[in-house]
Amino acid sequence: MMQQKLKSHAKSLRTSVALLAMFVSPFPQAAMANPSTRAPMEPLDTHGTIAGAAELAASCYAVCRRVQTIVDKMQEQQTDPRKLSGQELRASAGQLWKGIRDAKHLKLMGETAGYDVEPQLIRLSQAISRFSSMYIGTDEGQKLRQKLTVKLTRGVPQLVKGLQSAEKTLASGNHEGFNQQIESIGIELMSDFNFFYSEETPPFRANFYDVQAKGDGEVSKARTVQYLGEVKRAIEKQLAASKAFPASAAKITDQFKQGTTATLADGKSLSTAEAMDHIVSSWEVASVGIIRAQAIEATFGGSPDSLGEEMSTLKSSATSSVISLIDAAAASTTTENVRQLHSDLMEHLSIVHRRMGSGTSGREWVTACGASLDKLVAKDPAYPAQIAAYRKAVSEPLAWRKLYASEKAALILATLPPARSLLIEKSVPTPKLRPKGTTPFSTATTIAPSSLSDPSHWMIDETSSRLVGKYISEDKMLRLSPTTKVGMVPFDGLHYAAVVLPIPTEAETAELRRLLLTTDTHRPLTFDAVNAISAATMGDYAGVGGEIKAVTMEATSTRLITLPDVAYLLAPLGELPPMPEHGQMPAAVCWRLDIQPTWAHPTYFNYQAK
Amino acid sequence: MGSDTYSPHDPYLDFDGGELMKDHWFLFNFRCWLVAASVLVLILSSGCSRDELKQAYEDAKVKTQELASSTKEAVEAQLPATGAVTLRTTPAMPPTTGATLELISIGDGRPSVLQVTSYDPGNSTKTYPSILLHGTTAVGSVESLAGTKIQCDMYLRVSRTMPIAITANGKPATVTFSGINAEEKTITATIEPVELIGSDGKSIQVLGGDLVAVIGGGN
Repeated sequence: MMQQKLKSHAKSLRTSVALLAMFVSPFPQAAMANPSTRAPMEPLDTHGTIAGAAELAASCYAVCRRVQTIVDKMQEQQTDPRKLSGQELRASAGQLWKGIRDAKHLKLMGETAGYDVEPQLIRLSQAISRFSSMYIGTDEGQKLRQKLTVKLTRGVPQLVKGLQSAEKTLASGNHEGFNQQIESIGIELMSDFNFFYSEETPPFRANFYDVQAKGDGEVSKARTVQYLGEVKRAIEKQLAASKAFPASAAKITDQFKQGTTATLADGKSLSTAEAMDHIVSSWEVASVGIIRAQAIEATFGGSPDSLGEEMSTLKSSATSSVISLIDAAAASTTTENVRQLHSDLMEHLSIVHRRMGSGTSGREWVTACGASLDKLVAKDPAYPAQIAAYRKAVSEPLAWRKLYASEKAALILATLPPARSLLIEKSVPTPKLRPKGTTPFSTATTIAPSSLSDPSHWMIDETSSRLVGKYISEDKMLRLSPTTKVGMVPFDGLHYAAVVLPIPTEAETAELRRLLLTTDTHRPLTFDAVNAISAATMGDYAGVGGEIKAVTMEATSTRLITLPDVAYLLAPLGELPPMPEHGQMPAAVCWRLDIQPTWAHPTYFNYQAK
Repeated sequence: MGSDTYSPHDPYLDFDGGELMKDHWFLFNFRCWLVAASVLVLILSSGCSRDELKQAYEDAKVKTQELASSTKEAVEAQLPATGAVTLRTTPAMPPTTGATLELISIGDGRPSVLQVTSYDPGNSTKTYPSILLHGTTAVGSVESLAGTKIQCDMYLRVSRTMPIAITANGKPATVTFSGINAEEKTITATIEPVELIGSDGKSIQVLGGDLVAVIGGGN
């Protein structure tokens, strides 16, 4: 019976599971980009709150990679500057000028990728300038300068025209049109200016810099206003589910005051247990919406906890809706249905309880639900005494097993350091991607920094090489359904983890069922017993540990803003996850660990790989 | 409950949780050694040879043991039966300070549960050694238990600071019930040898055991 319920739960989440698999596919070919152990050069993903960010970031990273290849080649050639390619230097200079503008634009869009690529592009730009200076000392370089001098001198009238046209566009209020025009002129100009010293360019540039500076200022202002509007709308969109929750939940619970089913707007009929599932799922979706909204707000300069009250209001609405539902069901259910319903509801409650985390509010809520369940139970005269006898029969072995498992876990934990403590440790890295001479290699650095301090591919290289192969522990793991292939360790502000499942705990779970006198025809009768079996079967563990197989670096803003609905597991249900301090979100990064488990602690037993 | 189990050098008595037992010990030993010392003082003051002294010492020891035994019986006779579980282990461990048996019938078609606790489940402070025997049975009443063998999971914590040990999955302890003392409302049983696995991974060999349990109310 329990298995049937779990299967039905899994079925109801089938689409969600597919999404989660994309979100945290274990070890491999992640569906998302992001720099990782296997692909350190992948770009940081964007959240795309402002449309067009993904394309802009892709273009910036492409320039970085392309020019980096050229710079690497020129590093080898610089002993003989005649070997340097004037065409490559020219093209690179123009692309870098545009790339740096795009990176600033990305930053305005709240994209961490902008903070990643801008310093890289500036560094490359300096390298290209240096090689260009070498190049103009060669015969080829001098020839090119002569050619360009002629071209630039002849081009001044057209440049003046172009700038006037751009100014007109700006005056008409077409800011993006102006931007396109100025960039088109600028790319060409900067490609050529690359071979001249700045004091040489005034005759060729008319009032380009003045028009550009004035226009850029206005474009930036206009974009800021436009983006704030988009951000506001994005936040409102994310909060819609939370705003709609109380009324839609009340619509369902009210129907149970009159009958034993509720009908949704789409005509679907729900039993009490299905209604609880529906309410809880809506709560989860609304909760993730608030997390996304909060992350958007923090990314665009707002406070990182301004929506705490929204989250608490939703939580109290959801928890009281569930209690109302149980009360209504207690009043309307017939005696013969009491046992089945009681059992179904406890199982749902146990799952929600575990999603709510280890805080006191979850326990208080379960106690409050217990009072409502007692009213339901009282409708079957023989049932309360049977529950009391069952409690007496199983509570002692359950308590012993829990203690035994936690003693054993404590010994295992002594050999598995918490992941977080390893991440914040300092040690000397052994860089493979950082160019020699950029920083002293003997410096101890934090293994997993919480914000961008270097190009993302250098960071992932140095973080990954210090984490992969290490054995660590996490103090909680949740699983979306008994069939999901990945367990999730919630986000702690710096990292989260994906644990490869399944862990072979069938024998121990069967033992737990035996101990709790549970069979297909006899389900557990107390909350603790239901929770014990549900957690073990579901794969919700009080601890998990194993080997770090891979590391992925992500922009914290992107991680949270693009959180799929099913990723409510990343934070205790009803709470906001820890976010970077005010103003820190745009450059904040977080780390995903892919863990091959060697130990799991499903509260009442331990699993250890042989 | 052999007197060797009650050795004052028994290390388990030093563990927390055995306060009640320590008090008993203090009174019991104090009386015994007072008598022995008195006998020895009398002998020494009368000017005996070495052999005579040795004999006198042996006599005193016997008298002490007799007195100890009778004192213990007298004390036990006055106290209501609390039961005890005695497990034979190396190193030896003292018996529990109590044992209560309950046969819990849930009444929904599940087997009944036989539960022997050496402690009060309602009291969060446990006495040590602490033992739980837990098994299922088709037997419907305590009266019908005599002569039956029941497979029980055994849970043991010898002292507060020692790890919990439990019978391995599928290797329960066999408990054979022998008789009921209707007057004292107790039931006796023997426990066959069984291996327990500690939470630290170490094995504890139980060479066998006995229990006298007060029959509890069940459900």
